[in-house]
Amino acid sequence: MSQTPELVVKNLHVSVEGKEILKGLSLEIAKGEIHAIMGPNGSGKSTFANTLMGHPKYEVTSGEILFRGESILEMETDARARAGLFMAFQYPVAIPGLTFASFLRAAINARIAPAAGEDGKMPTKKGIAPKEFRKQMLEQMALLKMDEKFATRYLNDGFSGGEKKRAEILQMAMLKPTIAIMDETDSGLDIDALRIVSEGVNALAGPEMGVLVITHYNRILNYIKPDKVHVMVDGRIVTSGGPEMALELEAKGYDWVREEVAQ
Amino acid sequence: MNTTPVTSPVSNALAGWLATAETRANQKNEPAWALAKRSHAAAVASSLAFPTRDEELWRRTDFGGLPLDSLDPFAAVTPARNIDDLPVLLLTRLAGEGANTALVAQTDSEVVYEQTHPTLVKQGVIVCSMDRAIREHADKIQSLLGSLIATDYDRWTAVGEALRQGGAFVWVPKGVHAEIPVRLMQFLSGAGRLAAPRTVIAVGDGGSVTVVDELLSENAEGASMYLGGTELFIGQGAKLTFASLQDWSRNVYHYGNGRAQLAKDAELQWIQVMVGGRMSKTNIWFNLDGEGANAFVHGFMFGDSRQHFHLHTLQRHLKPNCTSDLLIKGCLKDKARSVYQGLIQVAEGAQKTNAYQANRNLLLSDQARADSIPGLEILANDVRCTHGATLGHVDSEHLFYLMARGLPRVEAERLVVEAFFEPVLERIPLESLREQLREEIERKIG
Ligand SMILES: Nc1ncnc2c1ncn2[C@@H]1O[C@H](COP(=O)(O)OP(=O)(O)O)[C@@H](O)[C@H]1O
Ligand SMILES: [Mg+2]
Repeated sequence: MSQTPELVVKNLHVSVEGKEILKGLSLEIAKGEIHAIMGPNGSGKSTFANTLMGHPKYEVTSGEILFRGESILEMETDARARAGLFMAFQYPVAIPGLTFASFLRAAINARIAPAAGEDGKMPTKKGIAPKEFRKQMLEQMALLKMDEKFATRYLNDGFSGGEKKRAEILQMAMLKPTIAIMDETDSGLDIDALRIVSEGVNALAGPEMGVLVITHYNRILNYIKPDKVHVMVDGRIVTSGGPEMALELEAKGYDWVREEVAQ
Repeated sequence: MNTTPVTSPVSNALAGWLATAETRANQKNEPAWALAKRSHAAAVASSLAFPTRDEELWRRTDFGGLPLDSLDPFAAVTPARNIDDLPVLLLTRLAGEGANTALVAQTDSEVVYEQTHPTLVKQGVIVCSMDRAIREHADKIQSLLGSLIATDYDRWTAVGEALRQGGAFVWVPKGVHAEIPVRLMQFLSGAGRLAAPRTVIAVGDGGSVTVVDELLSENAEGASMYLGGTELFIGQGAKLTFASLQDWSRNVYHYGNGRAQLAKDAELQWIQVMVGGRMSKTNIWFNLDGEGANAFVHGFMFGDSRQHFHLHTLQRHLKPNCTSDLLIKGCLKDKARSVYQGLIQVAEGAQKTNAYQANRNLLLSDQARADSIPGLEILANDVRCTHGATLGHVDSEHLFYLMARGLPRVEAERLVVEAFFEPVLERIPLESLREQLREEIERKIG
């Protein structure tokens, strides 16, 4: 018996600055599943990920996004995050002056305090104890082979490509989302970093979390085994299949899919 | 420049002040050399008019709203018998660390408490009030006091020098690394006060010291004024860390002059924080007057409601091979306004100069305003000079990133603003001060 999918996307149309980018995208992800979206550059993968997180630039012109059975289209980004959606950014922004640790602690506190955000302010409740927070963070950092110094560095400021991606996974590990979207987490990583990051994701993926891996190489899929692979071209999912689809894509390239679609 | 003295209640009050200041100095048996400086300043003050908007440095800042005749520079002050007698505001700032510091605290026009520290005494470091320095250390102070701040810089400066009351003297012998930080505090106790302290800090060749100067006041209905001057002398290979923290209540008009003179291979770390006051105008000069001298300047202003800040800096490269690196940040809410006017001067022959100047402004409302006026005057050909200014609102991609981690918008904005200040804050010498300023900023963000 299949459970109700946590994330249901129906016939989604999205425009940026008046230009339609997503042209009827549908997808369902249940807890415990790993999905991969593969597609060439410019096909709309990041647009999809950012739309799921409610980025104000992306306008949903029609279609539905249901999270745990309810539409989230009217929800602000922060409310979506607290509800259990997470996106690992393709290009995480740097905020000099904000240490990684204080940022992460604020994010955890925003999530664990039940009344967070209802009046737009932080709850008065103190949240996680600094000691407990540090302990958890250091544990996760060790798993991701990150230096302790990371905690006191400014958020993504001067981080190498690989450090940024690890930092994204560390946030995911600490925030424990229900659905995690990983937007090209593999790009810019060397093989070692790719392996560490993938192990991190595999350790987290489980019955309580669904994962959507977005990529345009299938390299990462040697490490993270998807249950389903979707191929995205020009704002639509044009074909879906099992893990073997990734191999087929590698062998035949995206042109093959384009031709299939054209028929 | 308009040099006709204005005849108005203001200048009548002023004439009275200048006369009274001299009389009182006489009564206190101020030494002749100090009296002579005072009289000279009084004459200059009488001959000048207050600067007007016709002058470049006053085009954007107008003290016209300051009711000068409501001020009393000579209001009686009660001295503190011991450190616990100090105003609560100052004690809070000391955060229980009063015993581990040298301290000169002034209320309104007078130093009310001064203490040095046994370690500093052993090291031969002098920390005392300016009055005491004039009486007891004339050999050291006479040639320094008033040697960097030109009396005729403008009328406010001359008035401040003529009224000179209080201030501090810090003197570090050659080769001595002062092990205890020095704290200077100026407090304004209410409305109608005028403080005109003059402070001198001198670090002997190869010596070092950290000095924090804090400006605090009791909030009151009527205006008060600060008219201060600080002169810093950093000897060959010496190092001075100086933090000026302006946290006045909203009734205070601030006019301050700072001058630093750096000898060969000297290093200055200057931290300038401006968060309080109704209107404040600060002019700071950095004279790089010996080869290999380095001045690092980090500062910020944070304004809300109708606060107005005006900071003018001058990086004067007088000798070759010097570096000055300046970063001033401004964050403005509501209808607050800031003016940053920065000039880099490179003298003829000051080759291999490195001079950098950056001004970054963050506007939190559409009615806030930040002006940035950079300038370069370069008379040498082998130099590296850059200046740049930026102006912007909170970056929407920063907000999106933080909100995507579950932080409500207001909280995300707060983190972005705090992050804006943090690189400057973390340079402030004492952790207890950094914490208090972080809290202050948090309150201001609202
Ligand atoms: N913020 C944006 N502003 C303008 N155009 C955008 C923006 N985001 C995406 N696009 C456009 O949408 C299309 C898809 O981009 P994107 O979603 O980034 O693709 P992918 O992630 O698959 O490479 C591209 O043509 C891109 O130029
Ligand atoms: Mg992309």
